[in-house]
Order: sequence, then C-alpha cells, then structure tokens
Amino acid sequence: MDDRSEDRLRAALLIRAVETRLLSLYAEGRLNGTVHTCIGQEYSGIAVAEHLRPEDRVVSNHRCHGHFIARTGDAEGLIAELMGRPQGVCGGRGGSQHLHKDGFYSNGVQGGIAPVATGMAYELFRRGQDGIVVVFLGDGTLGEGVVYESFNLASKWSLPVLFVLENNRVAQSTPQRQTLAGGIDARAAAFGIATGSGVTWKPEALITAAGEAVARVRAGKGPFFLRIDTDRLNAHSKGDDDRPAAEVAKLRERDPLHAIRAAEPELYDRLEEEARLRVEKAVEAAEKVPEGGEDFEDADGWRGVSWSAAPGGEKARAVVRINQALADALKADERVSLFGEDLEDPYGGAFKATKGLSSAYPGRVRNTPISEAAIVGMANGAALAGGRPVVELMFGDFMALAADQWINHASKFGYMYGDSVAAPFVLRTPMGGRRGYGPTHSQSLEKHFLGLPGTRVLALNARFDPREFYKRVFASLDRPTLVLENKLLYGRPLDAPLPAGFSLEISDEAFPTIRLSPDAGADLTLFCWGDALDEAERAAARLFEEEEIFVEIICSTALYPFNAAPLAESVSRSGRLLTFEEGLSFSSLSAEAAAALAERGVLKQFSRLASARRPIPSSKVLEVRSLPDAAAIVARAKELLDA
Amino acid sequence: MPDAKPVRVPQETVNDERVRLVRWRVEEGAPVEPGAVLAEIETSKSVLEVTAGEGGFLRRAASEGDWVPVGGVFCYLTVHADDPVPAAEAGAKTEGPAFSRKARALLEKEGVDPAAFSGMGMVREEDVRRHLASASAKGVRREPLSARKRSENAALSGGGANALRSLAALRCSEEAYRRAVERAPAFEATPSGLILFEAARTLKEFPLFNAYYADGDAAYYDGVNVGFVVDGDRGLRVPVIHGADSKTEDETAREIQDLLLAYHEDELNVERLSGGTFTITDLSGEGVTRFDPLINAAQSAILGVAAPEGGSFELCLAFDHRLHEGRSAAAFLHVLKSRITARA
Ligand SMILES: Cc1ncc(C[n+]2csc(CCOP(=O)(O)OP(=O)(O)O)c2C)c(N)n1
Repeated sequence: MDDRSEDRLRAALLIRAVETRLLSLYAEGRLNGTVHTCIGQEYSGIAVAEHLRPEDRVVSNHRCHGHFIARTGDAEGLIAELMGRPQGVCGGRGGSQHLHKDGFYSNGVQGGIAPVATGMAYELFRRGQDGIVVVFLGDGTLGEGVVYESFNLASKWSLPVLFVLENNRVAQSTPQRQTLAGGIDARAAAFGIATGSGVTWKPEALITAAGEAVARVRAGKGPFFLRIDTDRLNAHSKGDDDRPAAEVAKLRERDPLHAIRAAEPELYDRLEEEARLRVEKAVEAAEKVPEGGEDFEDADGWRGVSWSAAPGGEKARAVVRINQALADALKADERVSLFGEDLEDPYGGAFKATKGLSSAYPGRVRNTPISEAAIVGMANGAALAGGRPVVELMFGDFMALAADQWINHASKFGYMYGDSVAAPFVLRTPMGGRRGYGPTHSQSLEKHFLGLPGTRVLALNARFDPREFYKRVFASLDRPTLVLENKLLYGRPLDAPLPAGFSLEISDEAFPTIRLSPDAGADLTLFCWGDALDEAERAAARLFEEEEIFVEIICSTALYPFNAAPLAESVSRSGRLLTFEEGLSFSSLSAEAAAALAERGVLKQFSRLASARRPIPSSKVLEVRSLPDAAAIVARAKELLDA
Repeated sequence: MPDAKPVRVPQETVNDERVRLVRWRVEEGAPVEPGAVLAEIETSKSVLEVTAGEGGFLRRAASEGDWVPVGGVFCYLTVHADDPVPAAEAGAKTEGPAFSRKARALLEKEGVDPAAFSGMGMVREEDVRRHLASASAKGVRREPLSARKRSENAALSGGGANALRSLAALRCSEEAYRRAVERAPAFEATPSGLILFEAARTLKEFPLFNAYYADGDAAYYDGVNVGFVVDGDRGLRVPVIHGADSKTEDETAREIQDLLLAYHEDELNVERLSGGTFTITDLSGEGVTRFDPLINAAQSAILGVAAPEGGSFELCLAFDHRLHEGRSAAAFLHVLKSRITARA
C-alpha cells in the first residue's frame, strides 16, 4: 500500500474509531443528544477532501462527522463538541449536527444547506475569489424542493459548487424504493448539471472520480453532481435500524475496510490501535473540562431613551428613498449585492424599489427564478462567505416559503457555531393589505418571525427617512436583518404635514422609536409599527378634532429586539394603551408589548385593535371590514376612555 | 357649461394616494389644444405626462414640487384667458393652533378671535371656555351700544361676528422718545416698557379701548391688563401685566423682565398668558415703519410701535370699528403721545 493510500486508511480508521466511541459514550450516558454515524461511508468524505484547498468550503448535513474529520482532521474538537465541552469546535452549542471550523459548516435540517452552499459559491465567484464549495446531501434529501431550486440557480449562474449525493439507499428507516421516482443523476442532468459517480467500496476509483469532479468545478465549468454509492452499516442514529440483519450483513461484506483488513492485517491493526488511542485521549481531555461553556443571550431590549425633534421629511416618496439607500449601499460596499425576483431593469422590482440599479451596477443586481427558499438560503451562504447580500421577497406572505432559511439557518448560524461567524444580510419584503390582493398577498406576517435570537426585525414608516434608516441598517449589519416595508408605504410622500397641533420626535436608538405628541398631556397612548402609523395619525387627528381626546402615538421601528421602554414611559403618563396593527393580534408584537408593560406594572387600561380573525378577503368592501382603520381606532379609543 | 373646467390627477397606480407635480409643460394662461401635454406627474412607479382632454387656457392650481391628491384638481382649462377660476382647494398647510370641532363652534358663537390662542398648539372647547371665563372673571360691565353704532356695525359687517378692523397712526419724535426713556431709567433695558406704562394710564382715560364688542354690547373690563407680544425662539406669546395702570415704573419694568425671562425658560404659565384687556406689539426692531396688528380675542384694540424713519416713528392703533372710530382712536393716540413727550 502506498503512502497516500495509507493516509486515507488512517483517516478512515480514525473516523470509524470516533463514530464507534461516540456510540459507546452514548450508551454509557456520557453523551447528550443524538449522533448519526457514518460507519461504512468514511471514504466519501475522504475522497472529496483529498482534492480540496484551504480556501474551499464544505457544507454538510446531519451525518457530518466523517466529512468534518476528513476536511479538518480535528477529531479532538469534534469529540469535545459532542461531549458539550467549551473546547468543542462550537463551544458545545452546535453538537453532532452543527459543526463549524474554518470553511466547514454543517446543519441537520435536510435540504436547506443546498442553497446555503450555492450562496457561498455565488459570493466567491461574484467577487473573483478562489475556492469552490462542496455540499454533501443524502439520497433521502432528494425529496426536498429547495435542492432543486439550488440546482437550477447554481447551473443558471454557473456557480462553482459540487453537489455530492451520498446514496446509501435509505433515509432513516425508509428505503429509497418507497420514495424516489425517476433517476438520481437524471435530476441533476435535467438542470444541465454534469454528473459523475463512484462507490465507496472501490476507494481508489472513487478518489479519481472525486478529483475529476473537483477539477471541473475549479476550472469554472459550473456546478457538478457527484453521486457516491455507499452503505450505511449502522443504525440511522442509535439502535433504530429495522433493516433485516441479513441485508446489513451483506453490506458489511463489501465494506472497504473489511477488504483492507483481510489484505493487510498488520497495517490495519496498527492504524486501528493508533486511532483508538487518539480517540481515548481526546475523550479524556474533553472530560477534564466541565461541560457548559460561555453562553450568550439576546438583549431584552429594555432601555430608557431620550428624544429629539424629528427632522422634516424629504420631498420624495418612500420608494425613491429606499431605492437611493440601496444605491448608496451598492456604491459604498463591494460586498453588497442584490438578488430576488424581477429586480432588474427595465422592470426594477414589483414595487420599483430597485429601479435603475441593475443598469448602474451591472452584475450586482440580479433576477432570480421564483425560488424564495433559495433566495434567502443563498443570502445565508453569501453572508457566511463574507458578502453583505440584500434580497427581496416580492410579497411578505412568501416569507413562509423561506421560513426554514430564516428560522433554522439564518437565526442559528451565529450562536450554534460558537459566535465565530454570523450571516449578516438584509431581507426586504413588503407586508400589508388595502390593495385588494386577497388572502395570500396582503398579510402582515411579522409576528411569525419575531423573537428569534440572533435576528433583527425592523419596520419602515413614512416618518423616518428610509434612506437614513437603511444607512443605519448597513452601518450596524451584524446579523440577519428582516426589514418590513409596506405596499402602501412605497407611494407615500415623506413630507406629508403632521396632524395639526402634534409634534414629532425620534428617540436616540439606532432604529428609533417615533413619538407623535399632542401639545398637552395625552389621554391615551396609541402603539403601532410600520405603515400602520399612517392610519394611527389620521385617527389621532380625528380624535382631537371630533372628540377632544389627546392621543400620543408611539411607533417602533425595531420589532425585534424590541425596546418597550419608550412605550412604557408614554403609557405611565397617559394611563391608557391602545395597540393597533394590521396583522392578527394573537401572539403578536402588541401582546408582547403589553406583557412587557404588565410585567413592570405600567399597564392599567388596555385594548387591542387588529385584523379580523379571518384571511384577508379580496373584495374591497370585505377587505375594508377586515382591516382596522382610523375610524376603528377612534371608536375603540372612545370606548377605552368611557370605560 | 362652466367656464373653468377642473383637470384632476388621474389614478395611475393602485398604490398612490397622491402624486407629485414634477414639471409644468404649459405656461400659466397659455392656450392648449386637446391632447396637449399639460404637466409631468410622478407616481410611485414612474413619471407620466398628463394630457388635456379638451382645449382651453391653462390656469394652474398647484406649483412644481407640490403633492396633489389623486382625483384632486391641479389646473383648470378656461374658455377665455381671463375667466375666473375657483380659489385653491384647501391646502395642506396648517398654521396656528388646531381647534377641535367644539372649540371652533364656541369661538364662532362667542365671536372670539382665534388669534387669542396663537400661543397654543391644540385648543379644546374647555380652553375657549377658560379664556372667556378669564375675561369675565376680571369683572366686566356691559353697556348697550348706541343705536347709531349698532346700525353701522350691521351695515359694515353684514352680521358677521368678527372685528371690523381699522387703523390709526400717529407720528412721534424719535428724539423726544429717547429723552423720555433717559429720564425713566427703570426702562433702560426695555424702552417700550415706557409706552406700556403710559398706555395703561391712557386706557384709564379711554375705558372703551379697555373693552370689547359682545353681541351688540360694549363689554368693559374693570382691570387694565396690558399684554405685550414676544416672538422669539419659543414662538409667539403674549404675556400679560395685570393691573398695569396701578404699577409703578419700577414694578412695571421688573415684571416685564420677569415675563421675558419666563418666556425664554419656557415657563410662562396660563395665568401669565391670559386675561389681557389690551395689547402692545413692538416691531421697531424689525425695521417695520407701519403695520396693522391683529386684535386679540375679547379685546378691541392693539397698539403697534413701528420703527423710526426720518427722525420719527409711528404709534399704530388697530381698533375694532364696532366700538371705536378714527376720531376716538386719534384722541387716544394724542393723549398717549403727549404723556410720553411730556417726560422729555
Ligand atoms: C427537513 C428535515 N426533515 C426531516 C429530518 C429528520 N431526518 C434526519 S436525517 C433523516 C434522513 C435523511 O436521509 P438521507 O438524506 O438519505 O441521509 P442519510 O441519513 O441517509 O445520510 C431524516 C428524515 C430532518 N433532519 N430535516
């Protein structure tokens, strides 16, 4: 056996020793959670890793230990991580399925890593940087739609990403024949992606195949799809293998390590013992340090603020200032790029926010296919690769399609990778109704995306210049940031006169709270966010004019993390709180704000106004009935004062 | 057929409540043919041209840069170049205080001039009542006006509730005024305090100028409470010196200074801002040589001090013609002037 083969064998035996030991640690109760071992599949990671360079990235899934060791060699960091120790590669936060070191990233949610890897490749390629991206997927994951969104984008944009499909013909308990229609390679081929294959029981040929795949991608020939047929010899996780013993026994016979042991028993035994000792030492070292390292929590946001008079509004519509803000960002920072549906000129975005930008910044503003999950997934990947992508979802409703990327990827990377990385990107999307777009294009879904540690959720309104707002967003962009725009806000002039007699102030927060105060003590505080401010203002004007009720409006721009202090301060003066939102109030920000005030004993008289508890109808009359407006605020405010 | 056909902003996109008038493409008053481009408007989606549906003379109702509501009129097309066009639709500008519906109704009923609330942002019915109460709390004696004055009022105002404003002005020597102030050192820092001091005494001689018109009556104030207008970075306020006719020079000067300080500290309370029976406004520092100041609510006259020109300056007395006339105003001014110049 030559030196290189011996190195590969050493790596394979190390991986197997680690996996075997992890299973026994688990059985001994010394390991928390779960493991998915790759016993039988070791050569797949080894074959690919052998051809990689330091600048390349590897993205992997739940069955990632072998890929990680093959790529980084850090068995000690991996073992400490799984044992929950602070010296683990992610400080014990990520565990078995969430490993990160250097250019290696894994996530245990099936499929979502495909657009993440594609986004990394996009960013490297876009900026002319060296390096390719490899992503490992299981054959069961061929059932996830986002994989195909990624195939499509990677191929269309000719990105340097290698999709490695580990075909062990089983997914957890389900045999492939029950779930897979059509061919495997044919899937990639359908997107114009070149394909190749190998098998782990023929390591030398596999290594050659992997080498060719890597070389092709590195040569700039676009993505490549490498199918590696392999055998999962152990349970999916621990003790959950319902396959007939005879079937598994047959697989063991073609285990490549089995064959090498028979051919070179001495070498095999020596390397196996070497691996066993290394693993044992790593376990001992891990256990020397107590479990539970440094931890981190999002700030609860509560902070007293000071106020200053708001500057006069710009003589422009909100959409124009958003457009300028995006142009500013493109101009100021090479890392910024824009992608989403229909952004390019001459169309310039469904709401025209990106008009002119693809012409002014060729190649940096791109139309994507209709692939919301991949759009946000690629933003994740591009951000992890050092970019500052800005993506647009045409309607806020479609956040639902990207929820996995936002909730299980974007919000987790920073924390679960031990705060060593983050995915700083901007996701812009318009919420809101009153345009007759009906149940699926009118919602205000922000409540579903609030409270996720590691994220920021902001909402624009017409009283704070969007250009200045985005300037602040970019200046402090350290995490995934969702900016809620609003369909009606786009067309609003920013210099509309204030309701007569009211004065406008902004707080000193980076994402300021807006306060619209009457010139005498308020009878009621009206809380809102986003474009709801417009109806709130009308209501405040009418409440004074018609009812002689003085209303102070508090409008937050930072929905998460959320600072309830400015609201509490107002309510402690007025004694009454009315919250107003266009979305459904069940478990929404208004509930959260009220809870924060109640916890501090500030809440006495309180009422909430929100969308009717039904989908938003399309008929104008029905829609008007469903969404609360200024008239509804006036009526409710009177009730509250009469109570 | 109306002679001025309104041209309205078309609904171009569902998004927009207003559009911006970017540029006029036709001169004011110029003739246009049907189909001619009148102006460019900016919607949230693009800049569009608005064309004339029919011909006529273009009469602008908005300026470049203005926001015009969708469906709102931005110009008229008239049949003749000089046909009258309706006055501009209520603009977006709101100056002065905002009045609640009830407050406005009460103002109109009681004939109170909204300017009385110029220091406030938002006025409720309760504020108007307080204002009326503070006026009557000072003690008011009502006497019916002469039959001649009544019929004159009805003729002039057509039954309207507002003051019939008129102006009388009298020239004073700048030199004499300067010497008078020199001899009253208390007013060194605030020379117009001397005018206030003497005006208070003049009002004792002319009680009708310390009264206001109310439903056909002259309502006389018992006390002489002289307000003076301050218009600096805290906005326009009228602090009041109560019982000004019985205060000494020193007391008057000190109170003026206290009130000015309170103004700058933004500590003028309602007490010190209400109850005025007569007002003085000094624009001499602004270089204005004659002006016609607005009479405050529940008062019938206001004295303006103008800037000197050619060695003299004017005392301008704006008065409510329903109570006074040019002759009585002139008499008031002559007495005031001689009180001042007598000191020189
Ligand atoms: C989105 C998602 N659905 C379900 C699971 C639960 N799950 C974890 S691994 C797995 C099977 C994956 O099969 P495959 O992709 O073939 O990879 P293998 O386990 O065979 O390596 C399942 C269903 C998951 N982690 N993510």
